[in-house]
Amino acid sequence: MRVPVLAAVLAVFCCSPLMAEDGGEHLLPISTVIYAEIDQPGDLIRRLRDDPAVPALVEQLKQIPAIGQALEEDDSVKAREALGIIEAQLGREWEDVLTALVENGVTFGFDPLSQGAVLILHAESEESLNEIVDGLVELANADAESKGKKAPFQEAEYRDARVFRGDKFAFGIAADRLVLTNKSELGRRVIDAIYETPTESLAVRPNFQQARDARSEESIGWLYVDLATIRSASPDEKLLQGKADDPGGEIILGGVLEGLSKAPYLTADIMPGRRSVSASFSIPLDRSKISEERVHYFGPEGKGQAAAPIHVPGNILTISTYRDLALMLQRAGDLFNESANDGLAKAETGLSTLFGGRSFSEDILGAFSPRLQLVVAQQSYDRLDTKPSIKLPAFALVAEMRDPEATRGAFRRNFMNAIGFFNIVGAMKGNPQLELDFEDIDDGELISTRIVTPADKKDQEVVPLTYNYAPAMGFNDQLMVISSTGELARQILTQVSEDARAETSPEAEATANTILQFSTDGIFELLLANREHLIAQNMLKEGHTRVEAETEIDSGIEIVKLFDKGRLELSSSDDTLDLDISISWDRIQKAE
Amino acid sequence: MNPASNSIDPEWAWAPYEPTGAEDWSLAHVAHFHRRAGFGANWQTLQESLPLSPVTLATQAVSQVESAEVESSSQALVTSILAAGGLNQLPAWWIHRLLQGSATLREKMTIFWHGHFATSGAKVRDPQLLLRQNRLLREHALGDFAAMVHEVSKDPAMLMYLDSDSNRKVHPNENFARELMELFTLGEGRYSEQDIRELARCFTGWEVRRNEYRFNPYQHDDGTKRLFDQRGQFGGEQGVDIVLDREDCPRFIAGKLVRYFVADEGLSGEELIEPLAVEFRESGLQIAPLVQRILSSNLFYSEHARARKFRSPIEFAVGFLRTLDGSTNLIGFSNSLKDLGQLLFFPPNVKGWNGGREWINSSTLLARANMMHDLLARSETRFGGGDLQEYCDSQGWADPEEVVDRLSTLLLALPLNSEASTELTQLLESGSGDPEKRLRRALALFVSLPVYQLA
Repeated sequence: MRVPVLAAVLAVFCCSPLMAEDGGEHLLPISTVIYAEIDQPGDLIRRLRDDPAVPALVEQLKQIPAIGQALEEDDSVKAREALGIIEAQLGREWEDVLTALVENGVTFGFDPLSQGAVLILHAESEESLNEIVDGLVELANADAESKGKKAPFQEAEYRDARVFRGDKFAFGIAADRLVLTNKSELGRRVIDAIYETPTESLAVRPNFQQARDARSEESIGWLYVDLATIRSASPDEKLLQGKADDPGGEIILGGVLEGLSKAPYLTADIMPGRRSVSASFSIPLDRSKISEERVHYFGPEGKGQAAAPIHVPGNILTISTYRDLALMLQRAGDLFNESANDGLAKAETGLSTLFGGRSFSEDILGAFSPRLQLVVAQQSYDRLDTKPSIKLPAFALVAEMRDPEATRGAFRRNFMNAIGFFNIVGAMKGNPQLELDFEDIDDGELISTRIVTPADKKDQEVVPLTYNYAPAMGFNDQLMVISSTGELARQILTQVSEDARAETSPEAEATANTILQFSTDGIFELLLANREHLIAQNMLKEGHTRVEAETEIDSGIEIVKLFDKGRLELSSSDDTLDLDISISWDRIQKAE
Repeated sequence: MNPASNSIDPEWAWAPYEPTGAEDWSLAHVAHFHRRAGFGANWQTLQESLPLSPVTLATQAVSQVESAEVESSSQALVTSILAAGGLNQLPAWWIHRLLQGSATLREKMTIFWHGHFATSGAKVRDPQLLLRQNRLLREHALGDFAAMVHEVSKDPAMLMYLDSDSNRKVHPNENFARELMELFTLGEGRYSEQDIRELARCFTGWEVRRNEYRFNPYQHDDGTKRLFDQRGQFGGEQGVDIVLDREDCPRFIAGKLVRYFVADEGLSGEELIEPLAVEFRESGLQIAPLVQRILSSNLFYSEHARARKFRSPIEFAVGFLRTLDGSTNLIGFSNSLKDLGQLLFFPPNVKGWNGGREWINSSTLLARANMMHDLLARSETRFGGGDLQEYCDSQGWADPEEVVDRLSTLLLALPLNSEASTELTQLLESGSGDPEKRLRRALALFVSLPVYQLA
């Protein structure tokens, strides 16, 4: 007899929502469309407290002009004083208070039916939760009284919960959970679920369950968005309709938009690293059902893959992608609206003239494979006797020719024609002239240009942007590089040769559709080189004084300096479309 | 004290204004001076100006020199704009000077000459040339009119704007010669077609090559010209001197300055202008003494002048920000002036802006209200570097009634009628919502009132 009784007691405890150790999905209504949770915030806070890099980061942040200035402002001083009062009232440091409040998890939900948002903090214990809330409410009441105002919250009871109602939001303590919401109806619904397992909740939705099952074990935070419901409720929401309506948007987002227009939900996992954080967004997408219109984006059978990203010295950004631009333009009628198609038709006519009457979309773009790369890097101006006032990075497009033998000569001639054309137009406008130069690089060749500054412009006070560009074209085996400077084209060709000789590149096995990687070193140098220009533009665009503009720009530059590098990868599996974003801040560690 | 408008005694009109009591010299008088000689003044400046005499105020104004700090930040903006080739940011650069500068009369005169020697960025697309002309106008704004005309005549932007960047002896370009007399120096009907043809011959050989003026002796007609009552082998410089020497020249410029500073209409009689014209000529066409005389005169402070001008879009918008120590997104701000009809560096035609009553019509009136509404709704729009509420508090404007009263003194040429005053006070007192937004809404309403359209 004892065994069945014990089993029954255990069953009651295990099924009781008060004992549930999983996330807060059981507490939220089935109609919830946005759900987010952080599993063990307490651990995260403790890890941050114990991390020696955090004090270094805090010190670095204080050195940022805008933050240093904000910390000295009255509001900031008052906030610190208030924090001190709270710590004194509760007899604990604020980090301990925060940890105690969120020890067992944080859940957020948005319910469109009640138009309510709710935040559920799962505290370390009911006792400490009550103690903290009592202390905070007491302080708020005393503050209001000292200002001659009425108490900000009215306390009431709802079931076994203590409920506090304010003007704009309410909160309640139910067992060891603190429930904050802007809609009482939603708050009551959550408190009901805490005390009594609801028959219907977000947890029983099949889509949610399916998404939940796919959650990464490494993630500390998780997000679920019910796209199907949002789509049906917001039919005019452009982002979810699958159309970009312009070629630029289509190249960048076309496939993602298609995914968003069909996927039932979106999930995101947040994963912290030692000196990095990454987020993985995912939507269900059946590769076999990708529309014909988006073959240019995903490739045949959805298996189009980008090349391994090229990395050169001073690299700022590299985007490597699979995009069949020729195919996209052939499908333009289905993809774009009338106005965009008109624009494309005009561009086609103009570009075809430049390429000796050959069709730009079919003959020119069609001569390349869909594996394209954009490389952006710092440029040195040592080669120039006149340096531009605004310094832009060099950039290059790297493409693979389908038939190098047949197309290389034609592109070489077109490039030289274009330089001749620019020189004629430039001469009419008094712009600098370009001199052509030819060289062999390893197995390839480079046609570069050199800027010749007119004699009467050598001492000009303000040097225009054109001095940033000395175009070049290079070839190596199947690769064609068209670059804004010979320096970058040369670096790319050299790097490609070195990678080919090494045969294995660490990223040669990249399987993503699109990879974007950036380094903040180059961005930092670039911002520093253009600091004066940025300050001037800030004064014009924000109406700031010079001192205000300097503070804002210098702060931005310092913030960039905190980070190290980042990476974005768009890839697809047989049944999902995934976007992984990561950013690292190794430099903080170095500052320790 | 103030004679009727149809019988103004010129001697009285241009005699220095000498107030005898507090009623004759109040904050309203000082605010009037700053609105006309500049773009309005904040409360502190009004207080500082009140103990000064009208003559001292005008004398100080004509001798103001821009601070090194403003010149330095202005130069930094110029470098940035030119480096980016930003023709469209030039108006914002000038607005920055108008808002931050201390030599406000010089800036106001530069705008006057910009309208007088109109050259538009719509045709001259090179920002460097437009800036060079702008510097020229600023340098001579209160200086020697003859020197300015000589330099403008060789200014590449001007010559390009008037299609006179190439002038050959076989086909003299009459465009510049006509505008020099009609628009720049003498006025319409003060010359003959023969004078235009002869003056055009003087300018042959004047060219612009690679954005610089140059004289091409091979294209110059060195034959004898008969210009007005003079005969000789005149070159371009001599042609300009002959035109400047005409009696109509000081009369034309003085009359235009009186309309600019005193009243849009009703003061054009030659008798009234004559004493100024004589003084202008006798001073060797020096602009500062003429402007000083106008700004310190009985007529300037009389009922013939107060609220007798329509605010230009620049006076309307820049005056508003300057008076309340405002700052905002200068690019958006300057672009919005286009809808009001006055985009700096882009005058509508060779005649510049007509001004006066033409500033106001149903379309521009609506645009003015919309512009102020947008300006005050922008987060970048700050007063004294912060919120409007904080600004009012910092000025010690304690209650809504005082806020409305101070705004009236600062911004209006005529007292606010009691009905509007009560309405605005009530709006501030009893309106609901964010106090900052309420105050901004009330201010937008304030500057949309018909009385604010008058200077």
